[in-house]
Amino acid sequence: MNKKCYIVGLPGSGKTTFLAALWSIITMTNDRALELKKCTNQEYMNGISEKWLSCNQMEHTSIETVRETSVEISETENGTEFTLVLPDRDGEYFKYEKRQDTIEADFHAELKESDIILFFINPAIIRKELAYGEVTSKYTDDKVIPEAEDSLMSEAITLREEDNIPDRNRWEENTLGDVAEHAELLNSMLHSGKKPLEIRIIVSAWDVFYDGSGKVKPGDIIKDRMKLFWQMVETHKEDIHVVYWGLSAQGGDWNDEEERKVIAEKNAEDRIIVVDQSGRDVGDMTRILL
Amino acid sequence: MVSDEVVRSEITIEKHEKNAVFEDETQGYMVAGETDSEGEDSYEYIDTLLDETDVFELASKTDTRIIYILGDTKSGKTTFETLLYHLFYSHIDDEWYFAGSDTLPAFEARRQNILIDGRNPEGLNMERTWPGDGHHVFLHMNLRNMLNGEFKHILLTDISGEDYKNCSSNRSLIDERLPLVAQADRLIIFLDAKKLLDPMKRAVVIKDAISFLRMLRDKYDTADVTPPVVYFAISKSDRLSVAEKEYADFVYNIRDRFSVLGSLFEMNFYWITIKDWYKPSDKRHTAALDFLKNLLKDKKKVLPAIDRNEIENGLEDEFNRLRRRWVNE
Repeated sequence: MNKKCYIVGLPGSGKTTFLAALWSIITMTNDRALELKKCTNQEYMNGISEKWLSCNQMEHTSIETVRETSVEISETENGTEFTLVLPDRDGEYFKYEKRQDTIEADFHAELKESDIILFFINPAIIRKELAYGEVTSKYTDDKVIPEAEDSLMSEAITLREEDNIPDRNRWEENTLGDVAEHAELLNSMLHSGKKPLEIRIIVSAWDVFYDGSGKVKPGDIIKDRMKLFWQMVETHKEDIHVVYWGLSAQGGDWNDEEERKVIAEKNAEDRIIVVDQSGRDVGDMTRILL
Repeated sequence: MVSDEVVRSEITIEKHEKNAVFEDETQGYMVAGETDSEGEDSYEYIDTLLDETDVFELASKTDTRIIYILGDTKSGKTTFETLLYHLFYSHIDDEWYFAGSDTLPAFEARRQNILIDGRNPEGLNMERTWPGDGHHVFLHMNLRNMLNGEFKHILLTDISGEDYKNCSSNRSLIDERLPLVAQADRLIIFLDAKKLLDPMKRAVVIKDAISFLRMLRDKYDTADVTPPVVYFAISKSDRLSVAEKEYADFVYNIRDRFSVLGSLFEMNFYWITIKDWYKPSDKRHTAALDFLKNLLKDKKKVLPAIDRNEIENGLEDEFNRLRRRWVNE
């Protein structure tokens, strides 16, 4: 049996890092649940694998380097074969603005051909936002003095600075917020015509949320940080079968030089953190595909 | 049934008018786009609202609620709709979950105007809705009741104050500028409390609303159709921090003015908080979410048949057939 896995995710969601780590693990060791059968773009895979092994950040996949990469893997126990398809387009491909007209049709056609969708989400880069009224709820409550609008304004600005809420030039940016982009992507999948969709939501950058206790669940992180998206998942359970995973293919913050050195010294498979949807550490990232 | 709660709102439109960037009179929300061939900044028009054909297609397959939202310019209509969306963005209700939207970009464009950032530290800078093409006026939200599993597709109109005002004095404009208003399940008319407090402006606000409803009344003169339930949403009463007796007199005065409409419309008065939208309902205000739940609760009305030449063949009959079937169930 061959299962086709289609990799989806917005920019910075960890798609390429996942592939790089997976390729490294599969090609370096024999004692895995999965073994490599074939790859259409071995040079590319070797390249990203080397970056991963040396703890170097993946380059943003540019539109000029568009290449579809497919990796065929076989499950060692019962021989089930998986074909991982990473369009490896610029992650912008999955954003709402780009997925209009013909691209949307292509996207839906690709979804229909897939058995499993690996939907990468990085909640750590979701921009924090505050709306009108939410400042007052957090900071003022009973202390609101109706005529003190200036103090309210200064509190809002202070909050913004303290919580690193960035200045946004809303007239120059995409009008969809980060959460809405994911919701719109899911909405598009629901309209693809394929039912049910088998989706594995992979919460990347799991090192940010992981505390080793086994109590933090990837689904709870999505519920907490991406409420709109989470509600859409919950309301369409008849049409989408979702399994959550938490994954840190980097194992930590590579931008922190000290931390990076520590990670680099580890064995490749030891730097990866994988938890299942109950929050349990499963240790083997290939389990995501099984 | 009438419910009366006070509203507190501090929409300071005057402060933000100088920041408005709209200079084009087309409908919708504009974002900075590319410069045009002459090097002038041009704006990308977000044409993501639904029109009648989209509504018919949706209504032929799903349980829909058409909620018409009208009112004078800057009375809080768009802000209210935006807050309804933001409620689901920032909060998970026990009963109703957000299940998607076919106009998500349009909601998001509006939501940007209530976000706090460096350009908008006060967090409320809603851009105005301009008169549009008279067709693409519907915002869509699909909600699911997690207690009984039912889906409800909500269609909210985003109509400019100018269109409302013009229609209140010109019956022929209603069909032209307000598509499917006769099919609306609910009609929400926003009344600017700041204007209601001014005796001279109050007369105009109330006159417009009464005149509009009288214009609309003609569409319900047949025996087998019933008018929509009318909700008067009193907004922007941020200065209404008055004693109980004065508040009661004010409320009575407003309600009494609408008694000239007789029993044609079932009328409800709601005081919707904008500034404290996140707080639960209390004696003087109804929280936005509770207001929405009220809108979703009541029975569907019987609808008049549609008569539009531009409707695709089959959709019209299907729309009428299915809407009547739901009413009879």
